[in-house]
Amino acid sequence: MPVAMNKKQQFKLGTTLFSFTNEYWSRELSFEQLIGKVGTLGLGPGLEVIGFQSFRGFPQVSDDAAARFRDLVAKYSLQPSSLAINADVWARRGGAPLSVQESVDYFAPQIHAAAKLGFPVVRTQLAAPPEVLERLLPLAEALNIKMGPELHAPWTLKAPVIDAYRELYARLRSPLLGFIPDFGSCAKAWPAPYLRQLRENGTPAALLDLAMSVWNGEGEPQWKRDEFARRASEQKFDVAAVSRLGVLFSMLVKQDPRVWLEIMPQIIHVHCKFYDFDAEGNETTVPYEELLPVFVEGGYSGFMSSEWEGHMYSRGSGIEAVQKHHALCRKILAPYAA
Amino acid sequence: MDTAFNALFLDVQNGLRATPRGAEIDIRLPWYRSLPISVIEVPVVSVDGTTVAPADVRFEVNGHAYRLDELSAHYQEFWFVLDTAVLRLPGVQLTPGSDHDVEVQLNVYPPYVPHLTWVTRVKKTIRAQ
Repeated sequence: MPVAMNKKQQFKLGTTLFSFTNEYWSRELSFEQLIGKVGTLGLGPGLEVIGFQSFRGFPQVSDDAAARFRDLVAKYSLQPSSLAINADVWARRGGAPLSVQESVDYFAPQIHAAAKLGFPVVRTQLAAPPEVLERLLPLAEALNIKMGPELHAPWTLKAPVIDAYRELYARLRSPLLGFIPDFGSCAKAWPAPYLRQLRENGTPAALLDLAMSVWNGEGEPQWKRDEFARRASEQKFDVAAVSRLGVLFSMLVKQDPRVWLEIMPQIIHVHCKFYDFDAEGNETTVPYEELLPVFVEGGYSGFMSSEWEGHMYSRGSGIEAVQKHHALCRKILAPYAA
Repeated sequence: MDTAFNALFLDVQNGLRATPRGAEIDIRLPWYRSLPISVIEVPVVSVDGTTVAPADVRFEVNGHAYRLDELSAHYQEFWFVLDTAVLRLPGVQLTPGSDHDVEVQLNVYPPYVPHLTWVTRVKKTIRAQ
């Protein structure tokens, strides 16, 4: 359905440094150099950072580190968009998951770090139940920070775990509570280069076929994830190969792009997950030509972080990938330019 | 082509050392962010095709050494994503300059993703320093 042409784009683009995991993890470019790339290559204005990726000792952030970050952001005229924080609920392997209060205590210093660094939003995760954000709301109010879980595969918007959040939000009615869609949850296919890389590295064709037939078949996303794991284990495939395919079930799920209209006023940030482009520069895994107009139509006015996940299958340049993604977004959005 | 995680998990240049306290193998954390060592498991370490018993391996990070069966308890010890950790094999004595087939499997249980085990298993021939 075409969007009325009188609607204008209100949101801004940006980048999460997650996209540059190859450059950073390989120790080719530092955190500071990556921020410089976002600035000089025009990949902002939004800048998203993962606390546990970019700061040694996170959630502690020293005064020096915070001052350096704020200086870099100012130097390159960027705007901190979202600090990705983590709900490490299953940190005690083999032990009890974190309780609600332990998760509160785990998030609180991360939210303080966001305030210290100048981020207006923290990206939380569905691993923490909604009661955790309810208890943290007074802190978020004191620091004026928006909080919201990332809505990520294997969950779709109708998952009970998201219903629980929506019920809480309906009760509390706080402008500081929202959601952060990840576009991996509107995938139309698995990334061709990921599958190509697996084939080249000797992943058995039978295992690839099994994974694709389960993902493309009927059933709830979480059931598919478990079903693939069960059948792969039954057939005694190599565990490393199984994990490379199994992770795709937690990265990508099919969903109608228009579902986001249902919660649009509660969307506080967006992760534009992307993987691969065809010869014309169109993304082959995620339907951007549908998704971006939906966010124009809905009047979304926050940031969109370009988020390349190519480090999972490639040593390619995340910087070049984000440049292509920004070019695609600008092309799609041209009719709606404010 | 290998991913960075697989290609650089073991360091073929300087990642194997003969020391008076046994052989040292450098390993990287094959994940995009720092993680508590409690979600790290090292089920396989072998040198020249001989498996080293888990009890004979120490995992060293941040200046601390852990037995492999202790890792799961240390959820407050973080492995920073850019840091190299060391597997120390006190019972393995190597000669500097000799080549060895080193194989390591490392499992990551991302603590915010239920049901996911991320398995990295790499074998490289490395010259002991």
